[in-house]
Amino acid sequence: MIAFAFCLVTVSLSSKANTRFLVRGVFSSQEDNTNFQAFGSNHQRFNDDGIHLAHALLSTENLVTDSVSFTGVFNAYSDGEKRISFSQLYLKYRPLTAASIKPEVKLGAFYPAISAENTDFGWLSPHFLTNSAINSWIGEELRIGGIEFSLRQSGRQVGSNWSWKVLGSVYKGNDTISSLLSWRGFALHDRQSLYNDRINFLPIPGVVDEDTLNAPAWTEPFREVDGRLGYYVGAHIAYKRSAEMRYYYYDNNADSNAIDPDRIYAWHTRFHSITLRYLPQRELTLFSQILVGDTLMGEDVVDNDFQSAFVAAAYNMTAVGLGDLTLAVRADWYRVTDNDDTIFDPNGSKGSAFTIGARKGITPSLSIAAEWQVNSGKQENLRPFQDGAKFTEQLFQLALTLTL
Amino acid sequence: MTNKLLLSAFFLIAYSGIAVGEKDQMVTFSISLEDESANLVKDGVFLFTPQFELNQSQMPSYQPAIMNQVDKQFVPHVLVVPAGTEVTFPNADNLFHHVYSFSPTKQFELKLYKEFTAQPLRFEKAGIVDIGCNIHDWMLGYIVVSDSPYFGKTNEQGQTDIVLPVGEYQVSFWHPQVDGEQAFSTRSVSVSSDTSKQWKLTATIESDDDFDFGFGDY
Repeated sequence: MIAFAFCLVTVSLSSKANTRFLVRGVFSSQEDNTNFQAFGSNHQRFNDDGIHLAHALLSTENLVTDSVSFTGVFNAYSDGEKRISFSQLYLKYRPLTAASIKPEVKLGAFYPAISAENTDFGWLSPHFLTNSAINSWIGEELRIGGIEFSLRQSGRQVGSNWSWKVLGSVYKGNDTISSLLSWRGFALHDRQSLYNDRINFLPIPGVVDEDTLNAPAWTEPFREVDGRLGYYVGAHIAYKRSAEMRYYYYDNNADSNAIDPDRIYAWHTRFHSITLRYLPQRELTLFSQILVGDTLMGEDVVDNDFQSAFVAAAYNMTAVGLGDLTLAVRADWYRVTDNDDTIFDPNGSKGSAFTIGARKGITPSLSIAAEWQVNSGKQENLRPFQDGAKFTEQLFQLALTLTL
Repeated sequence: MTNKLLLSAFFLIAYSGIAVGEKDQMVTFSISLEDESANLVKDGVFLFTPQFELNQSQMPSYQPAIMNQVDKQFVPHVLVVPAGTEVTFPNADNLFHHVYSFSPTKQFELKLYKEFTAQPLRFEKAGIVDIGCNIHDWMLGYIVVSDSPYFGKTNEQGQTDIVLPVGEYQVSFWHPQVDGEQAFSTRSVSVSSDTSKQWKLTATIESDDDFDFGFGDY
């Protein structure tokens, strides 16, 4: 392990590598009920007030040949089941061509570029400590283990204000996606699942009891259950560097009747995602995302629709003489609708969240951030554990981030 | 955009007779460039091609030609060099670039590892060289290779001062966003003394956007 880490650092520091390191510690003040990672009902990432290692990551892109690069994002966390591993690992083939429409192929484990929120290295958000409900879910349950092929044209190279990209992918794994949406509901945090990670959730009687589904109170997001290929297609279009829209359609094509020996089910999950990003001026970024999808598990055992959306704004105060200070606000809305007749497993949930934060660069490599969030809603499967289905969760975080 | 070149605008300043012996005299030709919205235009290139034989003493001296990469942009955005010049391509970024040109004027490919300077490239043939980066599609720069030793590029204030011997010249103009515009009304110029000229384009020049990773790599 030490030898591997040494080799990794050595390779990452070569002149043929683009490498970034980041360590973020947070002090969090939050609700005191147990969180989902510890099989509790709370939707927040950490379990107690206190200081936590939110992120330690090494992101490196290395040239293998002139046209092929290798990218790895290696993470360490103080929470969760898998605390040291990688979140992304892929090869990228980007040949040099005189054509204005250029191809690219990615092979390995990676995120589809659905998000306009997680644009920093390591799939972090440059504006918020917690991700939106949509991208918290993507960070938890969605990862591609497969191949993506894309074609792109940069408008700047052809004298046009418009740039575009179209892409398609096939992949294995990701059969269990939507388990969390159905059994825990949406959550807002920044914990990304690592390779072979496991995510716990509240042991709902309708899920874990032997006379109901008899399933474990955890999911492994990237597990292959049915042996079938999933796919997604997407299109990006950008107007200069001031506006962009991304559309994705995802279908994991899972056999909803498949189940593996751990009683982990395959969930047939499909969704549409539209992402918008607009910079009316250099200092101001407005962005939004809409997610609409559904999931099916078993013979109509779980049949849910889900929707979520957010609008966000980030304003950098440099222009008004306040240095590298960025203020950001975001409003989230989410809902899971239970369409099946499985009475012992109610999946309905809905809620909204409001997040406000500020980030200040102290030096080029050191920044501090503060963020407050309130997330409130209603989740039907909480009823066996509390009085009613409603919840309200507040979170304050103070973060110190070192980037090299 | 390749070959979007040198559609010339030519003009004539009314001045007859240049006295014998005055041709060794060096004068300054100043140009101020605006677009149709009266915005000052940078990176406008003027090439003055002499219509007479040059003395060696009249040849200007040149600064070293450098096309740098800073914050995922080519710096300068437009570089003008006389034919035969060697251009150096340092990489000031702490990441790698893969710089290329498929322009007929000069085709090349440079792997520029971080904080690395490649061997200089010689640009022999006159014309426009579009350069890009295969890793960062939004990066775009131009090298204008001039047959003439007398040229200028407008600065942020839309201004350029060209020091040249008195005499007859053909003047060509090029700008990355101006394609075929006939901005000056006549074909050649006779320069006899310090001259200032204002030129208003009939096009509107849009400001160039910086690179932004939020938009991805296209």
